[in-house]
Amino acid sequence: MTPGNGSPSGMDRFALDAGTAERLVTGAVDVGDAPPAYRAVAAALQALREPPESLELAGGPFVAERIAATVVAARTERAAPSSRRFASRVRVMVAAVVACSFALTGSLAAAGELPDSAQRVASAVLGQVGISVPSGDHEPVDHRPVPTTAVPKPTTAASALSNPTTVSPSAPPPVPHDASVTAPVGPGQERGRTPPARDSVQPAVPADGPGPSPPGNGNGNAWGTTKAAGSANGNGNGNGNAYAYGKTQASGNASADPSLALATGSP
Amino acid sequence: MTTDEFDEALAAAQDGAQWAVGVLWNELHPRLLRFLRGLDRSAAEDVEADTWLAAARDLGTFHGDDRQFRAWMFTIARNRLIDWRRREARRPSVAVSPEVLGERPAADDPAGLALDVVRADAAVALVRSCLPTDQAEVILLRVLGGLDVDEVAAIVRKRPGNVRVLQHRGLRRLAERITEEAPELRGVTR
Repeated sequence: MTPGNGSPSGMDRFALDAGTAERLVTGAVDVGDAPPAYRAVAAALQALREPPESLELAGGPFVAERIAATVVAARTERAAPSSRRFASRVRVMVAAVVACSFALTGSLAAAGELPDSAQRVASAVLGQVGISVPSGDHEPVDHRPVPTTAVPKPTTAASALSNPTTVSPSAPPPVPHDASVTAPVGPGQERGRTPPARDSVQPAVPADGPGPSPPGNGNGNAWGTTKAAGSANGNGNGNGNAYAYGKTQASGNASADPSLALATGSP
Repeated sequence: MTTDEFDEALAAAQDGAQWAVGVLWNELHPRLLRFLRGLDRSAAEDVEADTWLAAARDLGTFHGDDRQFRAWMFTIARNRLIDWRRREARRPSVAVSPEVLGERPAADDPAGLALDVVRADAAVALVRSCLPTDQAEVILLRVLGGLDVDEVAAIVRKRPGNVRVLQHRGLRRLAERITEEAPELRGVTR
């Protein structure tokens, strides 16, 4: 049975396979060869492809002139900013390198890891701006914890004597068992003194020093071993570091307070 | 235009040679204008001019053959049309009275010149009136741009399978509408 238009029942008059669709849009099929339902579509698509007519190309030379001018202007703009961009990039890179160098040098100087000569220069330069870094002079380095606030512990002299003194190889040379003796320090540095211990049962108190000393810059070191009960303090006025090396054998302590270190050198 | 001719014209146009720009413009301007008219008649001329200005600014950086150049230009045109629609949505245009337009200068014998493009223009109008935008876009890019499915898919940012579906539906819909409205469309199909 066929409907009134002649097509078989159930058959889609506008059915279109992929190949025919492709040929229609690419213009590979003539209007007469197209499926009957698509002949009008083929004609419309062919009209779309028609070459341009005079009206569509009107004003072409004027438009081309404008476009060419825009091309030249854009090319000029592109050439100029590229050199500026390059110069700007170079400036940024140089600034970054300089900043990184300063940061690295400053870090090494603060850690005292620069070579001596460079460390001295860095110390001098940074000292001008109020930043204190090691000067690069060789100083005894002891990584042991510094007993700064040892708590005196009452004990007896016997127990104190039973504890022999041991000094680590890295420590400064042992001194005689006299808490009042302090080891000399490095060249140019000032010396801290530890007064003798006086009382075995007394807690650590600031030892009686020779009195106020003039303020000065330097390092105060206290090396030695406290043999008996008592305390050994290094006192001083001035700026610098105070080190205490040694071992407390008995009650008492060996302490060095930077703020109290005795500076005997010249200011 | 052969490949060699295109390469020569493109290189010269990138140096700012007016003759070369004219060659490229004559080759692509009618297609771009028909494409844009098929999507939005009121904006076609303005958007096409914007398209050429944008292309002129970036022409020095383009590398490719004539097919890629067509795809590039149609991509710019489509993007410019999208921008124009967004602007219009934010700022509706003001209608101008016909009396004002009547005083504007026209080209010589515009009526006679208009007869040249009536068929192409009618075909564009047919596509625009019968098809949804996405289907019209695919059909126009394939026919006017001479681009394949993958190139069209890249321009409209769809998958090739979707482009084939849109193309098939568009052709079918065109056929149905032409059959239904044959008397009105007689000027197109003759």
